[in-house]
Amino acid sequence: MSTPRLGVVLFSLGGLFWQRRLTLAGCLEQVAALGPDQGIELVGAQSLRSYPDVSDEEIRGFRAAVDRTGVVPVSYCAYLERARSSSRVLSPLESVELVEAEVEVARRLGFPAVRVNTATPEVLPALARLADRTGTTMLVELATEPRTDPAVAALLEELDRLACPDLGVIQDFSAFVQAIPAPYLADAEAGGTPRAALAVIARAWSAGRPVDEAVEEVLPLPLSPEEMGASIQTAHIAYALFRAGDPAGLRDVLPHLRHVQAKFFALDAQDAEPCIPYPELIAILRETGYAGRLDSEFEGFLWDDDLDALDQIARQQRELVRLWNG
Amino acid sequence: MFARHLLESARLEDGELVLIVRLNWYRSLPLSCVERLEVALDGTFLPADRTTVELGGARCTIGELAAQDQRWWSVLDAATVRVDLDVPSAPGPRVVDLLLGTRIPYLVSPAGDAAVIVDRARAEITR
Repeated sequence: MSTPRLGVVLFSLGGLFWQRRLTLAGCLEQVAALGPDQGIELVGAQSLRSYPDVSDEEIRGFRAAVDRTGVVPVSYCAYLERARSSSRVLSPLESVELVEAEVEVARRLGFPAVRVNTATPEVLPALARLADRTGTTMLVELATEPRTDPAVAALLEELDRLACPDLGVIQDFSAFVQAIPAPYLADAEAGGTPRAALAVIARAWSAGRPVDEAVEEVLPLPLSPEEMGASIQTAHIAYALFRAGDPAGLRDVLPHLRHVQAKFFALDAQDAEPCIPYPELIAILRETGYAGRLDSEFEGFLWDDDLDALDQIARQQRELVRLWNG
Repeated sequence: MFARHLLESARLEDGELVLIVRLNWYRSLPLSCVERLEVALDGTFLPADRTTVELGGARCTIGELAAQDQRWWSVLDAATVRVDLDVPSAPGPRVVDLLLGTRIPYLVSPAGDAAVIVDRARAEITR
């Protein structure tokens, strides 16, 4: 039985990095310690000290760390930053210009692909031209899936039409969340969102009702202005981060799928992520002959300082291999 | 995570309240993304026109933040926030509240509004 190729989205170590407990080189060393042939995905604006004008010295340091550790640069993560300036919000197409600078940074670092966090169909031809001009594969991250999100279905249709070999997608498994993760709710409560508001938000989310309805239900609660503000923010973030997609939608994505961001929040005692149907998702990939990487993306550090990111990632990778081997 | 570590330190010195503040996001951002920076001492908000932000050796007022598109706040850097107090600080323990609201450039609603993430932190100054 073959095993899937594994990797780590360095965002997963973002808590350790932000708290200055790991350097970028230290992150690569920790990833390399997980086993051979580990892929990495890197957010320039997160991991690079001299971003956005990335220095030659930092590029040299990164490439030396890659050579030393043996990790494999897979994808550089860029964003369509429509609101980078305070003076004007760009259109999605206008913001592609900012991605061009990211492609150059990615090329200097040695990444063969650049991910953008989102795209609309009209942006795809511009990304295809960028790919053609720079020799870089351009990948669009899907935070939802086509059977529950018409925007993703339209994106896939346009990819079909363009048939550009250097254009593809990454599927983030946060598209298949089945419950709001417990660490998120606990952190929101600690941050000032009252339990009553959390219950309303969780109930609305689980029932598949839109965020506006969740907020409408929160508004009549007897909360202080601070509690109300925190509750509304909690609702919007929950709906943005956790998307209740149909696992079968993964099948529709496969023709354009280059790799997977295996999102998880906090493993249970059996090493399973309780909020995402991993057995079903991995079975679809295995049965359909998927040969791309599974890049672990741990998000729980945002809400719980006690979760050991390195331990979580190591356990998740073992679980992914176990699931793959059936 | 960010709210738990937002405020690295707070102290009173020479008629100023001095806060060492981290960015409440996982990615570096232009300083102009700081849309709200509010400081309260013992529950009373301090005037924005007496508050400055210092980062990388350059200082600006709260009102000047919106123009700082070209200066970036790295996730590894702490900003120094200074508030000029108009009265000598009283002895004894003081409570400082900080609110930081940061625009996230890639989280834009269909209506064209960027999300602003708000985090709060509190510290006690004992002297």
